[in-house]
Amino acid sequence: MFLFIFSIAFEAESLKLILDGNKVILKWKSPPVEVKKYEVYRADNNQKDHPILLAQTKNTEFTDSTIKPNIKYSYLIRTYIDDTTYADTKWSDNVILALNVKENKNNKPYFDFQKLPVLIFLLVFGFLFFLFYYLARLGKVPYIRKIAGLEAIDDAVGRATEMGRPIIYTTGISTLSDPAIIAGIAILKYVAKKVASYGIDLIVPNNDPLIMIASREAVKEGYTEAGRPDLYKENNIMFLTTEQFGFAAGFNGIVIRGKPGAAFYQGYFYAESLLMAETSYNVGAINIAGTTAITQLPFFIVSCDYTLIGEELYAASAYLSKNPSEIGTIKSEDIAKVIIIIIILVGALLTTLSEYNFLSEISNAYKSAFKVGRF
Amino acid sequence: MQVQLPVLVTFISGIAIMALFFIPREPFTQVEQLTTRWYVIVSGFALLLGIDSLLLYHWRKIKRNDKDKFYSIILIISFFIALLWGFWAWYKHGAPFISGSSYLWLFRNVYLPLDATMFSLLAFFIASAAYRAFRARNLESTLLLISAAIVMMGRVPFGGYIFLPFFLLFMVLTGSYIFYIGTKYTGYNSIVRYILGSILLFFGILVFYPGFSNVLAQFIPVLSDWIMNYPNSAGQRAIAIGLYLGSIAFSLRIIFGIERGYIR
Repeated sequence: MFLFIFSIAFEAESLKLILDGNKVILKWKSPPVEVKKYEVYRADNNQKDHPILLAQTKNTEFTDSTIKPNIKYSYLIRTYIDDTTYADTKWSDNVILALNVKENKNNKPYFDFQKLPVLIFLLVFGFLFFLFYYLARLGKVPYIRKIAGLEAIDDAVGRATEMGRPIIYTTGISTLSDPAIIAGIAILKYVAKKVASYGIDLIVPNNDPLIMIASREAVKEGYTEAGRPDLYKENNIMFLTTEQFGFAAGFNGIVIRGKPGAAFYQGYFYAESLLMAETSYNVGAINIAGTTAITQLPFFIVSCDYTLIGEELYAASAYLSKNPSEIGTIKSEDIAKVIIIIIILVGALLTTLSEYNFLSEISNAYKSAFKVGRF
Repeated sequence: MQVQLPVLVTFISGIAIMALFFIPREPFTQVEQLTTRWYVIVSGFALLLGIDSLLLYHWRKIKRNDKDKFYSIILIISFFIALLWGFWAWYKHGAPFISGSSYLWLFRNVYLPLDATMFSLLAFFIASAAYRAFRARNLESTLLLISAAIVMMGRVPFGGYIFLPFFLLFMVLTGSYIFYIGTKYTGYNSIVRYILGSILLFFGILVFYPGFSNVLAQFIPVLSDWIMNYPNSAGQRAIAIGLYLGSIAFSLRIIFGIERGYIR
């Protein structure tokens, strides 16, 4: 039996290379054993002693879109059946992208009609947005319910001041192009203003240098608006690391050693959310979180005193600014939600009826009207 | 000008990127890739500022003889070891992460175990957070406790059978309590509680009947999947729809310069 098992060759089979425009598509067949993963290696200009690991995958297909003209590329697939046991295919024949190869993409139209529903919705939403914006400017400011998490900011800062402890603030581990991070930085400015007026320390560890620079600007501006630019400490807004758990470890170290009175988590988070929030809870900090990461919301809800759920984070800067025109735009979201609810209800009703061969054509037409792309 | 120029740049970039989403034709499709490349280049230079900030922060701690300076010393030493080792591997192998590189060995045997250790801590933090969250303080938290127990039991092998003693305990205790409360009332109120208590006790004791217990045990994974696929998905999608609308409104506020909290 053992001999039989070990006699099975388990390297990937029938490796095929297809040169498609300016990319190479690799296809292979899985061996007759259970495969843990494949590693795709590439040798540039026959440098097979120094292969480049392109990807780790469980699929039997990989597209290399990083090739450049006039370089010979050869590929090898390494098949793992456990963490340490692997087998390699032979190096493939060389493929080369000719200098003048260019995919002819200019036969495509100037407008992607599959995205028409998106454009229509954007226009409708844009109309509602500016309608409520101008209504608010004319004095018809809509009522916005109190957001407990934002109301608690002042109390949290006050509590930290009474305890003589610093405040720690993080925007998570996304990039500056993420709207959640920009929203987090806008709240940071408000917190900095409050902190400056109480005269306590504000510590802002960052995992992205660009966010660190933006945070420094926001905090500096907050201190200046509070009339205490002298209290601003640039050293307190620091970069830790770009690595997820390295950042969590560094953040937790600062929390355990500095014992902040309040911890703010406003931005985008992944699995490190609970590691950080539980640590600050354990040192007795009041935790206020807000994230657009749906998967992390439950963790924040159980470990934080207040949590801004999803869209509340985006509304926070308008809410805190108390600027009527900004607040007015929030109302457009509610109207859009009503429209979406109606669309969903009509769709559910038509789909249910079509199950009983009633209004099937209308149901199909309705569904295709909201179809975007290949979905 | 300090305000108008950033607002103008944001407006033009925002509208352009939005419009390009609808144009599938070259060269428009490459603009997003191009801007991403610009972002990567700017980030690369910003990393130097980040390193400067990190090293200065810890150097100052060492200089002022901070009580935690030991950690700062370790950080600075580790930073330079990794940096120099990376350059050496680059010189020797052509790239630090190439197969056979000693830097790859360092990455796999030092960095990855440390990373995995931090991630593993999550299990203990989940346990402590779940302990606080699953206390049945009110109706909502009781519902959370019950649904979480069903989902957990439904997701582990033989979870349905593990669930049975808990089901028995819950039904007998709750049924007895409602029965006991019934003794304090008279008339209709008392009868309703007696009947409800009896039903719960009956279903609790029914666990000892193999036919019922087998059906109940097999029902738990199904119920667990149902909770995840329907109430849970519905809740998540509702949050997601609000989130996307909030994101569009927030982006429009920034693009049209209505919200300027991010600039001075």
